[in-house]
Amino acid sequence: MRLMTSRVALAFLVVGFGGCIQRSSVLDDAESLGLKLSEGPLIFRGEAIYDFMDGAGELPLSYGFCKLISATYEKNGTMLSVVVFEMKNARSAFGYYSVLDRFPSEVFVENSLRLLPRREVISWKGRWVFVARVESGRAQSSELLELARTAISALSGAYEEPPLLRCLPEKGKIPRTELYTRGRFAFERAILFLPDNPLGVRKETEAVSAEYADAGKLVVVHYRKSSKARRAFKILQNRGFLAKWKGQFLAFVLEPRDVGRADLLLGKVELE
Amino acid sequence: MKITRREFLKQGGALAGSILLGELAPLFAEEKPLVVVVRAQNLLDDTGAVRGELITRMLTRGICELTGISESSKAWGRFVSEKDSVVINEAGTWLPNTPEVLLETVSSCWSLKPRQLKLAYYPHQTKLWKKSIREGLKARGVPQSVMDSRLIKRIPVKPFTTLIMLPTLKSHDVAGVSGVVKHFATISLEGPAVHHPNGMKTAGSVIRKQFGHLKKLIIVDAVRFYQTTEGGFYYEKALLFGTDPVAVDTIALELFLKHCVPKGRILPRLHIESADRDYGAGESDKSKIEIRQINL
Repeated sequence: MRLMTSRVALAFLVVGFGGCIQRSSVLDDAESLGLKLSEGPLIFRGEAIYDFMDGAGELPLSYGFCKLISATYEKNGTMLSVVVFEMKNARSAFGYYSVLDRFPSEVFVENSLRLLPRREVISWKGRWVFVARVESGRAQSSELLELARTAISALSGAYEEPPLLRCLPEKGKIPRTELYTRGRFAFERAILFLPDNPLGVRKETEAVSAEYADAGKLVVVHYRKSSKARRAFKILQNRGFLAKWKGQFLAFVLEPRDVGRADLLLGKVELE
Repeated sequence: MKITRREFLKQGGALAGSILLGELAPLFAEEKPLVVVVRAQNLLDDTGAVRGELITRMLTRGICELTGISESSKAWGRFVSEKDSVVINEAGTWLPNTPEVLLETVSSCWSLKPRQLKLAYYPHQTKLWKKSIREGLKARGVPQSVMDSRLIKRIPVKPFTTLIMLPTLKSHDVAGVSGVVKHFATISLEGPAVHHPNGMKTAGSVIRKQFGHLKKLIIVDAVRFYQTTEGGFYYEKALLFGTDPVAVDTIALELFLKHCVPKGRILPRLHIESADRDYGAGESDKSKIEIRQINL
């Protein structure tokens, strides 16, 4: 069964996005494909995101979420939901995408396209993060991927990753484990949660991390003020973390697999 | 031999106890909050659907065991009488209640003819969910007018006497795991957002302050938990009963963590322990909780 083409989904998603997603003649295609809009399209801006996803909205808000549009479609008993998030910039879009749930069996298909268990696809491009999910009924992964590919091609912008990622040494890095966080919620959710925020991670604080096969998880944090970075460094040192500090930058290794290798890795980090 | 406060009071020492309890407190064994866990291994049929008749049995066994009363209607009567105004709060959107659990609870309460009965539900529930609940109520002879989406965040200021809460447990972006204590913050007057920072450590602050005047019955809908390491459901096939929100949450979280994972790196016990330690809302130390397990 062909569930739908992404062009059809985007026919509705284009509403409210001021043409950022290129419109085609898809509105006319919907009926001919037998697709029926079940719910939506719904648009949520700023903090109204809580009405869409409750507390989970803190995460995109942490990255400078602008708005989202969502719709649910039905065909022959299969329900499919599509959500497109518009973020502040490409860095934010990559960041939000990078901290969305990870699963051992997920598959990176190409570029940013991830096929998750439970028939869900996510992707990002430019300022946009795209999520589509089969809510109920039958739909093949290939159909979901077709939908995602067409959607991504309709999104404007390029894959511009955060410059801070360049602080992470390439050697030994496990591909596609990079995370980018902005603000406290994302940092605590995805990198390190310490009660009462002793590291002083604030709204403007950025961080990146990646897994290294032999060393552990390397984290680099960029503070607005070097005094904040220095203070956080001292706290980590007192707690027994392997850490390094320079100016506004702080680096440390979480859950080191081998302390010697973790120390070597830390030595290779260029904090600037 | 130590006796519990409850036994002492039963034996006619109420007056003396009320005067002397302060001085004599160390002589009494602490009475542990009770949490009843009722499980039905064959809860799902061959198609994966929930067997409604088993849910009814689970609810009956749980409420009877919790109250120590063998007759179901009298057991429910501990929380719901003709003088009571009762509000039932469902689990919300991320992992909605198993409809049978919610419907059977509403139906049991309705049969006791309380002065008022309301089902406080989230306005953002899907049309499908609302439809299934409406139809379920109709089939049980309960008027659909009990459903009220405007009550969320207004329960503390309405003239209710009893709160029956039916939370589910799911991994959660800001609390690690969302369960009973977190759910109280969700229905608080100020809503959950102000409690979001710091792993929702302050969630439990509302329990005594805003809901302290209500009789509370907590029924954790643990038919399924969300989510496993692969993002799916884990079918625990259980219901948990208690009157101490923190104690029920403590036991439910322990069950959850056997097969499911918190969201990200948030410590899911932080806000539960804080509800106990910082706000005196209940017991979070498992060794101080009495747990009764029933398998149907």
